[in-house]
Amino acid sequence: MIETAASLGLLALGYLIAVSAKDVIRILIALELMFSAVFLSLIPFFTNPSLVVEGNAIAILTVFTSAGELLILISAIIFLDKKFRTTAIEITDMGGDVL
Amino acid sequence: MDAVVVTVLSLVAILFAVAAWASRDNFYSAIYMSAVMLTVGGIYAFHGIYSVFILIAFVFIGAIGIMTVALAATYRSINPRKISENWLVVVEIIAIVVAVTAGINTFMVGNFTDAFDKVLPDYLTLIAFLIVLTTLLMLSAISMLRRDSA
Repeated sequence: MIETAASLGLLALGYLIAVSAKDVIRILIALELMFSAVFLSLIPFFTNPSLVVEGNAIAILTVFTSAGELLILISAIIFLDKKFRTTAIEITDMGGDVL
Repeated sequence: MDAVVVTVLSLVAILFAVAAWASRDNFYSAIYMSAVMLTVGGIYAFHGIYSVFILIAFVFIGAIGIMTVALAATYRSINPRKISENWLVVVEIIAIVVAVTAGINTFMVGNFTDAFDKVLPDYLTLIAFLIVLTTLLMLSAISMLRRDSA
């Protein structure tokens, strides 16, 4: 019960950080907070004996897929800085590479 | 007693998340975010779900969290923040109402149990996941090196 409420609180704070971000590092931090909220929301699975296995499987998949996603975002931030010499969020509004 | 500990840990997590939002320095914001992850892992450990706690501690806090802190220390900009206080109050009230409603209506059946050994009877799948993550990291590193040398 408390965990679900805290999870929604963390999710709201993650959204708040994301919408008030001025650079992409804050977006990364906001995403990690949102994933923490996802982990908290999985806790009720572990109280139901018929759903514990599913809860464990979802937790394992969530940890690894979110970690992979964050790794790609970290690489993208480094590439963004190498190309534009800034991590300001306005740069990301400009579109992709010119081919 | 259990409810008190979980409530305190949840409140600490929310307070650290508020501090991550309020801090204008990326580095401190990343530190507070890592503290939120620690408390989330602590809630799992308190309930005895050690497999998920270890995954969060090693993969999320140990790898991703440390990289985020290092990145935030490198790009340590002080962010001016422009946000409407009126909208903030409205959004916070809605978030509190939704959180309390969801918390009251969450259905928890019995005691906490861990079934990691039933999901992964051997560690091969876990090792495969770790190899995929490491390959992803290496691909990014190789891509950066090739761009540097080009």
